[in-house]
Amino acid sequence: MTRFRALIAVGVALSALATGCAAGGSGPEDNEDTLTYALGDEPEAFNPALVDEHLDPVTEMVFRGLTAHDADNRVVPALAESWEISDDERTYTFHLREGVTWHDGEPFTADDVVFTIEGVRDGGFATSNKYANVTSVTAEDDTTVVVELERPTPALLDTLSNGILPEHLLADSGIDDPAFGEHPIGTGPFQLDTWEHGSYARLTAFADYYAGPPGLDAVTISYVPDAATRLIQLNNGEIDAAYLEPQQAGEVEGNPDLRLEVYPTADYRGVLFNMEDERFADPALRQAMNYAVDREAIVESVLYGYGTPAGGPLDQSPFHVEDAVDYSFDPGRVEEIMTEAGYERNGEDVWEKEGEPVSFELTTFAEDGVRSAMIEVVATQLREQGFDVTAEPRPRDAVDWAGLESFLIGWGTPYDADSSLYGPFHSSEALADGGSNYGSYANDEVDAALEAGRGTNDEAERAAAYADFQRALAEDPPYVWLTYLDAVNAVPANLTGPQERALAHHGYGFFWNVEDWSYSS
Amino acid sequence: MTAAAVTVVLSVLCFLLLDLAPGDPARALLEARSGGRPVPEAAVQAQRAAMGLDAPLPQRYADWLGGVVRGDLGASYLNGRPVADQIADALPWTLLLAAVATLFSLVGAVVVGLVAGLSRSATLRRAIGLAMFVLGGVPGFVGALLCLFVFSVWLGWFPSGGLGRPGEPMTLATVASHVTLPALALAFGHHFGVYVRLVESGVRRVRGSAHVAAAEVRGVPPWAVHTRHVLRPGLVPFAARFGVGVAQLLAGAYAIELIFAWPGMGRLGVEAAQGDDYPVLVAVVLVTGLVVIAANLLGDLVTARLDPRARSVAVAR
Repeated sequence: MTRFRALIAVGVALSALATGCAAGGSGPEDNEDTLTYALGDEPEAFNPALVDEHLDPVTEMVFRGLTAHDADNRVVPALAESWEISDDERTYTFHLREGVTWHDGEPFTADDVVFTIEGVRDGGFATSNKYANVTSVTAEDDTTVVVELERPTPALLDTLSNGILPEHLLADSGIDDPAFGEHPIGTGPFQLDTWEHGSYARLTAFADYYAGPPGLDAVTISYVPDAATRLIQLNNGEIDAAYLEPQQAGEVEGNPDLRLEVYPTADYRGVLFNMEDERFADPALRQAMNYAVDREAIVESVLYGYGTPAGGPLDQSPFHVEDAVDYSFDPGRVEEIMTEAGYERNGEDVWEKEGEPVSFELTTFAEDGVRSAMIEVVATQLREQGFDVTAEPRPRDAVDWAGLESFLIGWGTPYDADSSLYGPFHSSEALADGGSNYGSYANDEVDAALEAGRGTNDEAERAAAYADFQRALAEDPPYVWLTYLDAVNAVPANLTGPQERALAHHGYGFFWNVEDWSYSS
Repeated sequence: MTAAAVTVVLSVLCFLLLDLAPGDPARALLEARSGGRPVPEAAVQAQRAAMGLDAPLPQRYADWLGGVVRGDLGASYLNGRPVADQIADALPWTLLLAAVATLFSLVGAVVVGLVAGLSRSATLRRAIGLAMFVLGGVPGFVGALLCLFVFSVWLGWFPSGGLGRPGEPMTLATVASHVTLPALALAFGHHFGVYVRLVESGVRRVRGSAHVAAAEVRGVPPWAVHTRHVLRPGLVPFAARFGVGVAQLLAGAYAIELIFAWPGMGRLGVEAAQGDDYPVLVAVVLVTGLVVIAANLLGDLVTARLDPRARSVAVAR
């Protein structure tokens, strides 16, 4: 009996303690300028050799590449101060910045660059193909690196914006050493202080950063898987900043302590067709469907206005041409094209040809709420124009690429056009050959233009090639282009420094100029 | 011996089910690294080979079992960290959450059950019955979100998740304030109504019995009658049910930990399942199984303490 009463007393005491100390919760004001930012996904390691194109904020802050991008996504010097390119575009000579040190105090040298390029190229990683054209990379002296290429590779300077890794720590254990991925050492403006798995990663300012110490003393990336919880924590002041889903942005607008940073991205969504399926062979059908979707309505209803209608894969690129095609919503054009192509409406008002109605399933990754909502709206819009489309999201693991009919896919890069076009659209990258051309799309003009576009550094020649590419794509559209997504982030109202730039992904890339951030008061 | 057999059966089941389920650790890893975009099949094949996933299932299982026998739970497919380290990081937090939740539901069930069992008001009893029925029908995640909105958003009494503000020192007070809300959400989930019903029916059965009447006649004060003579034997069915309750509590913790960003076993397990990370998932299942076995044992011991008649039964098991 007494034991039970003791137990009850402990319970009551604990509840009282919890209640008493809970209010407020933030503890004593610390005198350092810290930013705590929450997002959903935690990477398995912080290693730029493994991660695609600046997709993780911690890796982005800890490491620096030979090059970087400015607010207009132009390549600018970083660890390399300057470089020369030979006339045949196959030899690059990089002059490295002097006096750069790793977070552990060791000097950064040309050997680190050689180690990184060779290690990634030969490592058998998903990122390895980016250096596939590198035949040799040599350190002429401590601050000079010469890269020899098999053929011109215009995307190389973009690729070299990915982080360089320290040879002195990885020479023995290998470039993908898990222990290093746990305690990374880079040359970036912030160094990793603590990583509590499942909770947060805390970074502190690196005083010896080559461009001068950053404005903030510390940045904490907090991993909060549930989007609703992130919003609550933000509004409660438990975190300072967060990545937001489009529908959450409105909930922050009234909060005087917060400010929304909305950036455009090159991250687009489109409906891919399985071209192995004969029913999708006629380009006219795909053209008609491109006129049948109301992109503004999709941006409004699914993205709450945080996006822009997409006309093709290069809308965010300097190579974008306006005159290729205008696929604005136009039911009249749908009727015209379909009738001309020999289709007619059947008893249920669905287009059909030779007794075969245009009827197919549109699927996407069910885990992605925005994609799942988008296929519902797209299917409804297409049904209104006589295409019998059923929306059916599927779990990632259950997506059968070879067997599906159509899929809401996403690609896009604000960096070199080649890196996000060749894989998805060149016929040599077809699904059956192990590539990223999941719809097995094949068009000779497109192939030729993509090859011309990656074959030279000459801006004018490349512009002509990608103009040809966009016109060929307009004639024979592989996708129904839908929208580009905006990246929506909330930050403290008194944080200065975040600068708009077209990002590569709606969820990542926000920290691109974090060294310039600071609190205004 | 039993534990070893349970380990083998559970682990074989885990490997088999994971192998039968669609999904591929190599693809999951690469898609995570590419921001959710699909990854070329050629890269997935290369990654599979690098992770040693090309070996047939029986061989992978044999390798894993060989490690376990040597006391090595293996390394995660996703991040290469030793599984034992990840379990050691996560388990204490889940145990803390489960312990506080158990305490809450225990105290709550005894109070509510005692009131319902002793009250002569049919209306009150029916109201409690209805409330328990409703609580039992609310899915765990709905209850958790309700808790969040009421106590964290509206009232602002408790922080909404995690273990405290990252980087700040973790004190008993911050941990207590952060554990309260998830523990509340967990404590008053599905099994709470069952606990209350068990206490209530136990108390009701005992309160009419001869020894209670005898105590009242002897002039023992009412509060002492209620605790010593009614509550103690009334708790027997409740204690006997404790092990099952803990199993349900742990199942509930899986959803609760995700919502409250609690770095425990549930979150580890869900992330391992999403990433097809066999070694981590198998370890989570095994350790969860061991905790349930331990809770059952504890329930038996408490039952034996409360009811001398059960002692021989408990020993005989």
